[in-house]
Amino acid sequence: MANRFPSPDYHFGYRKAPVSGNTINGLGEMAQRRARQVFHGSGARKLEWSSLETFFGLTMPLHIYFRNALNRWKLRKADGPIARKRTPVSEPADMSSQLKAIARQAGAGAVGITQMTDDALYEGQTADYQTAIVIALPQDYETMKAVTTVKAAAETVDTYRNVSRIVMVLAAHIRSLGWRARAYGESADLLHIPLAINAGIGQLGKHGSVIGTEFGSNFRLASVLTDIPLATDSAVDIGVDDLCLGCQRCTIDCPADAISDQQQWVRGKKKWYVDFDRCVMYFVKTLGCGICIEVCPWSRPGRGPSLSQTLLAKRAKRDPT
Amino acid sequence: MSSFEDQFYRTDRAVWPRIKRDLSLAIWIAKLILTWFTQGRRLRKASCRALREENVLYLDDLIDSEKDG
Repeated sequence: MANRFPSPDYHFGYRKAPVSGNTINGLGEMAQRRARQVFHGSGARKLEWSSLETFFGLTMPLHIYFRNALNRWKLRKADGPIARKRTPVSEPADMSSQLKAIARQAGAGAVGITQMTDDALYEGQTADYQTAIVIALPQDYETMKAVTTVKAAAETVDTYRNVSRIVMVLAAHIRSLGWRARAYGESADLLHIPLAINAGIGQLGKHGSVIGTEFGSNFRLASVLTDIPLATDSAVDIGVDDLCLGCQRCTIDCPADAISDQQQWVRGKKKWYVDFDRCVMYFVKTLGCGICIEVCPWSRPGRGPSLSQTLLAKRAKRDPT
Repeated sequence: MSSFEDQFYRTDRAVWPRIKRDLSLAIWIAKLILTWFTQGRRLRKASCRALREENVLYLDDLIDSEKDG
């Protein structure tokens, strides 16, 4: 364990422990089902671990708490009326390119498009849209080196605020073309990670975050759900599993010992999984943590593309078929 | 209770529902901010005390009881 990070001792806890987040998340379950919300609600409803989330929010410095509240105010325009005249889309591929260009112009680091799927929705929720546009916005790497401090927490909140702005711009543009579109920023209703993976933004890393070619996992996600006809992207293989199977950086550096070296069964899929109960306590203690994102070798600026090439070349050499 | 999206996203063209939404969201956010100063102050003080005295602050005692009561 790297001793530059705070120790995993907690001066807060539950007298009567809530249902384990790992149980709610379906750890060890072989049958497929949709996810259930545990933590990170929008504050609009009570979840099993709500008390810890309340503690997390209310012990944040006011300027960070206030920025979050301000983002909630702006997010009211994440959906809105649709233009009466609909612009027909004869070439979905062209429309995809146009929307990606708008997103990049608004500041997006990576953009991917995929079919909307049920596994991106929590149990009991519906979102009657055809397509998801997923946006990744990188965080400032130098600032994020200060993870577990107020400085890094502020950068994370600002990145969420900025990525929310981008998806709202994109959704407003689509609605102006006469098609339904709803932006999901810091949303409690949508699981951005499965969409990001299907949209080719990156692959799931062992630390439970998406690793993309260019920014590693040093980015935040937001999405637009829409009905406008679009050409979709495909999931990518950039060699993340090859890296994560051999690299122990986040496993070792995680003070809470929450990151496993083995993929595990979660709701009918074998995948990387982070121990929720261990992670969340440390996350709350350290203003949103982020150690695993910061120490991931892929997150170092400029490293990703060459790392991906090397990993894929090694694999091709090892297994020429 | 419904989600943030269900409560505050409006697609209707009419102005009045959107004004109502803005008002209810402004109240919701004002309550959030007020909570930081009231319940939050008590929590932060209790948290600092627990840290100083090396005790454990039980969230279910403080947060759930405030909500229930």
